[in-house]
Amino acid sequence: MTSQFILFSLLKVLCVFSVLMFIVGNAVWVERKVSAFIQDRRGPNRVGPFGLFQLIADAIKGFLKEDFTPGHVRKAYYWLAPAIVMVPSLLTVAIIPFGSLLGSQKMVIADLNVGILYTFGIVSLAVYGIVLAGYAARSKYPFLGSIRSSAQMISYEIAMGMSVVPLFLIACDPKGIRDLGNGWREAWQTFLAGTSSLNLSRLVAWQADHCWLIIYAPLSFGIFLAAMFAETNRLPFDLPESEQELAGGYNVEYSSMKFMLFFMGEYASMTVSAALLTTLFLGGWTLPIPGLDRPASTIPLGLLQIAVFLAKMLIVEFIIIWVRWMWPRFRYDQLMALGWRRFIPLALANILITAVALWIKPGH
Amino acid sequence: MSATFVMLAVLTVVSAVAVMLLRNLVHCALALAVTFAGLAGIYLQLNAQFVGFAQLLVYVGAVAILIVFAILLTRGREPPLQSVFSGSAIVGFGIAIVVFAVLATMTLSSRALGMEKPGEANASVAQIGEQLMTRYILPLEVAGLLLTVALIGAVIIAMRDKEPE
Amino acid sequence: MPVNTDPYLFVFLLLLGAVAFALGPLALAWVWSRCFSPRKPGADKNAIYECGLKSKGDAWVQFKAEYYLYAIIFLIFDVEAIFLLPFAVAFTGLPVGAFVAMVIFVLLLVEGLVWAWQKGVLTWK
Repeated sequence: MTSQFILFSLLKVLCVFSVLMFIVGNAVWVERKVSAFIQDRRGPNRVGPFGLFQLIADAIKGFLKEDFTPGHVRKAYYWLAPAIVMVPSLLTVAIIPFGSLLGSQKMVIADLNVGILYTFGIVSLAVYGIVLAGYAARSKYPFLGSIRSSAQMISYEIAMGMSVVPLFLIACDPKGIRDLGNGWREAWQTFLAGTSSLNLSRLVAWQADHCWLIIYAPLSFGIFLAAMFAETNRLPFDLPESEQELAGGYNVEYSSMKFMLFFMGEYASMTVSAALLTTLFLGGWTLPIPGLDRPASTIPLGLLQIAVFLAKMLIVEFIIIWVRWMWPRFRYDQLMALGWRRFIPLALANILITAVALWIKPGH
Repeated sequence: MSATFVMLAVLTVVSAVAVMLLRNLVHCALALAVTFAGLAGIYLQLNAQFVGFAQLLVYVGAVAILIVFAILLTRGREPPLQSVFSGSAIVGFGIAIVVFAVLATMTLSSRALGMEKPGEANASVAQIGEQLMTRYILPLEVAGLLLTVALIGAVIIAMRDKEPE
Repeated sequence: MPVNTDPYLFVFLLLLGAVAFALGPLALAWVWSRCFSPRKPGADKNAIYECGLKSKGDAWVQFKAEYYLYAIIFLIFDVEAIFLLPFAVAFTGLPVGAFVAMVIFVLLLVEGLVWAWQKGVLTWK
């Protein structure tokens, strides 16, 4: 049993990794196609049907280009920074439940009970890659870009962390899963056995039991969404890159494979945030349809739930891409003012209001 | 002593020594971040999940970042070419010995030494929250007050160089 | 032999995988360039990139103190957020007094924020 468990778990890690990488690679293609559509162009259409093999061409290009290290950089950090950008976003994926069960295996890499705290702990490490990239380059634009970018990231990290507190206020119900008959409660209770309150599977269970948290906590959703754009350095918060001001930001001095790692790091963190948003606010792998709203009893159902999760996640990711081509960029002072003078007070107020509302709610 | 603990302890101690011995401030700050991360690992290894990730989030993700910021934002100079042991080393050693002596006596006289090894500690975050909100409510409020004082104090100190303009 | 099924084992495996994935391509590209690509360094190619102009002075310049102020406030609120999570999780089982105490805790920090706002710390100039 246990060696089998280990084997399946390893398999799970491998699968998640390859699916994530596949999505990351193709998100670039989608991004280019969407931008082309919005700007009335054709986008990539030379390599393969609809330019679908562009990904492979780009990978080969990144690999074969001259691996050039400018003379003025600090070498060790220069090599390390792209790797550090990449690692945290890949690690975050560990606690996201991307399905219910396949056989007796839970579809999450590490079912940690501190769930969301793990996410924020790891996400907070992403700043290092960017700071190091700027410091290593020993060049003005990258340095300025990296300081700007890290200040932006830490500012929105607070808003992001506080925006999820109401979710746990709402969803930590001591009464647990309601008894809706038909083995509903039992199925969930076996599924959740051994987990405690910050576990993300519990949030999914609560959302299946009641309603998606986007309905219960729309303000949290708004703040989280905006903070997510800022954390992943996407437009309208892509100040770190702002081509017109900083000539590309913290990665100016990078080329070939190292630049590609930065690039992929951005898409990886985007994909993982989309997955997190889906889990926190959009019901995770559940759909309010009989059969899909509870832990799967058969393997086809389990696969279907993974598909549901992926579909939700891809829709969110598509929206992130879409927004990039629709919105202008914020100015830096606007960005900081928005983060500190709007989102953080709003998030705090949101916590207090939610707590008071829950308190005076009849039946408490 | 498990292998995990030995690895984490070595990592923590080596990086802590590196913080003291390296000359380039940026290297020091990053080594400090590694030390904090090693400590977080040790907490996790003791099954204190909440404390472990709180350590990661606050110390690695905020305190070390603050230090890195402080170094990068002030005008950088090449590291001074003086010896590792500066003139104030004796004072430093003195303070270190005093602190170590205090910690050692406290540890050795602690009642916890005589106690039996507690069972598997597995406090859930909910239990921590409950204890924090009832039994340890006063320390919590004091912590809140301290944080506010720290905020105000730090801002006043950091703002001072701006005022004369 | 008992098999370790600690979830952190898989986090660690994922970490190894992620590091390998990040460093692997870098190493491969490096090996490739070592073996096959001709090296053509040049003064212009090695120069600091600054829109074609010649770079003047050190890149490590003095920055605005504002960045540092934001970092300090960030630290304080990070600690606060850590305290808020256990509170949220334990919320439903708590007595009224605990609830009021938490409101006081939050308001204390709000006071700090309001003060900083009043002082113009949060206004980016």
